[in-house]
Order: sequence, then structure tokens, then C-alpha cells
Amino acid sequence: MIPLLDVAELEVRFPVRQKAGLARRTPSFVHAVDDVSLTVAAGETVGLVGESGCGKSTLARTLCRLIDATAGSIRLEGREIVDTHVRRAAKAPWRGDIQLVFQDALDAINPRMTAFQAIADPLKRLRGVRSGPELTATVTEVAASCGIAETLLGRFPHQLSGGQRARVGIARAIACRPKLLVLDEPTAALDVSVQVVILQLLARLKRELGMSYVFVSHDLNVVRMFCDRIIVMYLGKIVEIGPADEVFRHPRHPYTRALIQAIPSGIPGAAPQAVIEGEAKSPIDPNPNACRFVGRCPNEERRCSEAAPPFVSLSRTHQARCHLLRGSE
Amino acid sequence: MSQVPLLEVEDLAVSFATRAGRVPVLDQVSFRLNKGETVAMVGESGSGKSVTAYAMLRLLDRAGRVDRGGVRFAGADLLALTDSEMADIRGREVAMIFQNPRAALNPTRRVGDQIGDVLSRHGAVPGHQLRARVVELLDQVKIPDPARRARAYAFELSGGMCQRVMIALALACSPALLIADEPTTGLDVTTQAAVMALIRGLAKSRTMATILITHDLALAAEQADRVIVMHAGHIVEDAPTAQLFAHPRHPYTRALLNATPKTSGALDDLQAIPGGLPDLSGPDVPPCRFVSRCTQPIDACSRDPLPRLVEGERRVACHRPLEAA
Repeated sequence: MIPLLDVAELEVRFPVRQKAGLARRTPSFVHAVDDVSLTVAAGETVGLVGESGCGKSTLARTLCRLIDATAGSIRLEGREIVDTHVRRAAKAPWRGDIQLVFQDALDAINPRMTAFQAIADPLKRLRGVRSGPELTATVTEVAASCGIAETLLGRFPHQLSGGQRARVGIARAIACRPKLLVLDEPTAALDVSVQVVILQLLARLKRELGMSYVFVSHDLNVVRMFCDRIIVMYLGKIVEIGPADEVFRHPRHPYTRALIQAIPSGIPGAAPQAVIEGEAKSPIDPNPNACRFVGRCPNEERRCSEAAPPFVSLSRTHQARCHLLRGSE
Repeated sequence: MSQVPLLEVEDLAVSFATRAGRVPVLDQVSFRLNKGETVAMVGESGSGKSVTAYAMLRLLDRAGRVDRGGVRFAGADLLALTDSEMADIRGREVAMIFQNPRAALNPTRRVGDQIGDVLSRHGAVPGHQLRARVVELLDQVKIPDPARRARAYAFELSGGMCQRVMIALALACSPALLIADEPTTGLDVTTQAAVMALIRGLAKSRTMATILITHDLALAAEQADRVIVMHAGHIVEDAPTAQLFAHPRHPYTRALLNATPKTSGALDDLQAIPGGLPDLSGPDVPPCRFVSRCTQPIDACSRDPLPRLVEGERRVACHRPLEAA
């Protein structure tokens, strides 16, 4: 069976502007996403984690085709969508099948649109629904399914609370009944009390509408609860990919381990977490013949700076990119 | 507990002028902090955590006013000091770390010069040693290549580095009290762990007291000796960390704990907190501001003044606290 989304060897590079006055050299690139392959099955939730700057948001936006990839392929239900230029992608027939929920709905929703208009907009543009009773009925129904009271539909984003705005952002994204919803830190701006409600809403919508999710977050406790599989990125590359439970219980890549150890345990007086020192290296023209975690890795060896590590299969569903791991198959 | 506390906040009340008239925000806020102790203040946004800190340091903006109460710090009544006396204390005896370090630093001046300003304002080191002291401070907060970084501007540093600069700035004069307002919000977990380890280590080696303002209960649990829970401008519970997490006595504390994602457990185990913070601008703010969200209110909650129960080292403001243990 073909997976809903099949991404192969995806690469996104951004040119770096040369400093004036320097002799012309070969141009430099930020390697934001490098050699990323992944699949998302129908009905599956895949979590995407990593530090800021690791490329998770760029990847999320490239999947939604808001950014053009430099190389690689993105197939949605077998159809190649990577070649469609971003300008055309906005009107492509599959546009309504992949939708994005942004981090802060206050920034993401047009401030001059009411909640109703914001939810109606994609229906008009992508599904060709004309203004009238049909549109009103659909918007009201979608809003209701996201727990937005009808009385709130006339309000502008700034007149809504953080939780209500988040709901409008979600309602807008699911209005076209997408098959894949990409969520870029959907609860980062919310208090825990509201976060729970939004996460439970997303879980319910997924069940009812049979969507798949790509869930980007830096809150690892949330990712653990919410996702079936998790993908850990470091400096543009996937370093570990596997079932969420397994990755959290037995992280195999040293970076994943450091990331998980750094989560506050919530246990009073718990021993201070292990800390990896330093910061990620520059994503500009990284050394292709070295592991990108070199310099921060606690178990580093010589070969780590001499060759890029291969993907090692730890089980049928669990892989990590590290020289020090041995495969099981 | 017979020790003389370093900080004593007594019945603090703060109101803000708004278009709808004066809105009482903080009400009956009282707590103590001992020398070298770390206290976490937790609660949803809008619960009054930052306002408490700003009121203590007299940094409230024009609209805010302290209506009542006292803040005693190391024997001095902070609210009665003149502005210049207060300015002597800020930065030297009490320092603050802000949430968004890049916004809190001056974007047009080198970070080293900004640390130098604090040192020379308080006459902490003779002028010719200023430069060396700045580099030494940056080195203490583990900034690599401190001499070079002292000449950097905020925009040239990562978020984690900016926060380290803020910490160096705050600790420049070895204050007795550090107020850290969401010091790691917006930082990655790995950076958060490093920054918190740094603050904890420095606090310990200098017996500095710390108020950690955070909305992250898991972080509070790990870092603090005691936790103060705020809701809508009231302190609802104040207890030693282990006691508070093992047996919350205020329904709001329990609700917060039940809403926080843990390192184990499923999404369905989490419980949302119904309702939102009450509208404090109305005429009929109930004595207990949690009553409309509470799962077990009684008539007294919206009628009688809030009781302040004291049980050992724990204080709870509730008519019907949850069963102990």
C-alpha cells in the first residue's frame, strides 16, 4: 500500500548572501534540510523534534509546499508534488489536502478577517464554495466541531482569547477536510490548562476525520503522548526515527539521549539533568564527511569526524544515524 | 523557621488603571523568603506572578499602583525608600533576569559595556579593573571566548548566549536575591537545562536566594525548595516542593498538576481546567477568585473572606481544602 506521504532524499538549501568586497568564491548555502526521507501512513501521527535551528519548521513548511525544495521528492498518495513551484502550489488541486496550523494564531490569521471569514477563506479559494447558505452552514459546522461558539464567529482575532484563536487556526486548517495536517508548535503559546483542551481536540478531530498529522514541537512530553512515531532532527538531518514509546524508553542516538535527559522530570528534588555543552555548529556549508553532532557528542570517536555516519537499522521500525551503533538486522 | 527572613512581603495589593476604571489585581499577597532559598512562583499567565516581582522592585508601569502592603528586604522597607535609594538596591542587592533576553539587552551597545555599566553604577570595581571583571563574569557563566564575546552585540549571540549574558549582568554585584522571570521560556530543553544548572550552581555558591517565576511545573519541581501557586492575583498555596506535589491541598494546585504533561501517562489522563481567570474589573469579584472553576465549591466560597490556613510549613487559601495525605 502506498503511504499517504512519502518523502525521499529531500534537501532544502538557502543561499547565503556574500559579504561585499570579498573576492567571489563558490557560493555558500545554509543546509536547512539535508537528505530527509520519511513516510506518513494514513491516520498516523508523526512527531518532529529537535532544537531551534535544526530545520524542523523548514521541513514542515516544505511538506506543505510553502517553500521550494532544492532536491528530492515529496509524494502525496503517490502523486509527486515537489516540482510544483510555490506560487502554483497555492492553486494546485491537492492544496486542500495538506494544510498547516501555525504556532501563534494571532500572527497567522489576517487581523482584518473575522473568525468566520478566516474559516471561510480556504473553502472559497480551494473548494470553490460560493458565499451563501452552503458556505455559512459549512463554516458553522466546522467551527462547532472545533468548539467555537457561533457568537464568536463575528469577532476579529484580537478579540479572541489564546485558546479560542488556536481553535480558529485549527478550524481554518480542517475546513477543506485535508488528509494531512501539519502542526507547527500548535500549543507553544498556550497555558497548560488550555494546551490540554487543544491537544484533546486535535486527537478527537483526527479520529473523526481520519487525518494524518505531522506534529512539530519542542515539548517532548507532549510529543511522547501525542505521536505514534517520532523523528529527531539535528542540524538539518534526521538522526533518529522510530516508534515514540521506543525512542523515549531507549533512545539510541547520543543526541536523542541528551534531549530526553534534559526534559524536566517534574519530580521534586530530582537529580539535575545531564547537560550537553555548547551549541550546534553553523548550518552553513557543513562538512559533508563528518557527523554533525561532533563537538558536542559525549561518545565521539575519530571516525566521527572522518566520515558521515550511516543510518543503522535497530529494528524494522527504528533507525539512527550514528557510527557507534550496530544494526540488528 | 525562627530565622529572620531575607524578604518579607506582607498583604501586598496592586491595582491597575484601565479604561474600565481601577482594577484590583494583586490582593493579600504575603510570603517570605529565607537567605539562600529557592522559591518557584507558578500559575497561568495573568495570575500575577510577574506583577508581584515588579511591584516588589517598584518597576510597575504608570498604570500600576501599590494600594496596600509592605515589602521588607534585609531590614529595609522597599516601598518607603526614595527613588535613588531604590536604584542603589536594584542591581546590587536584588537583580532580575527577564524572559526575553534579546529584548531586555540594549541592542545598540556591546554586551560587555552593559555589564560594565552595572559595575560602575554601584562602584563595584575600580575603573581600571572594569574590563577584566566583565570578562571574568562572562567566563563564570561559561561563555566561550569571553573577551571576544564582551565586544559582541545582542543580535550576534544566540538566545542561550543572551540569557547567559543576562545572568552575568544580574549577578555582577553578587545580589542577595535574584528574581528570574521565566528565564528559560523560548529556549530549547537542552539550553534550558544548561541555563538552570548555571543559575542553581551560582545561587548555591553565593547563598543567593532565588525567586523563579515559571509556568512550567515540572521545572519548578526540580529547581525549587518551595513553590508558591498563584491564581488571579491571589496566592492560593505555598508549600515545600515535595509536599505540594505529593499532596496538593488547593483545588487549583491539583488542577494545574492534572493538566501538566508528564514523562509518562497518556493524553486522556490529562484534565483541562474549566473556565478562565475571572474578570477582576467587575463589582462582584468573589472572595475566592477560583470559585467559578472549582470542582467542589461551597456557599462560603463566594460569601466569606478567604481563610488562610497554616499547616506546618504549608499555607492554603481555601474554604474547603483537599484532604491531606
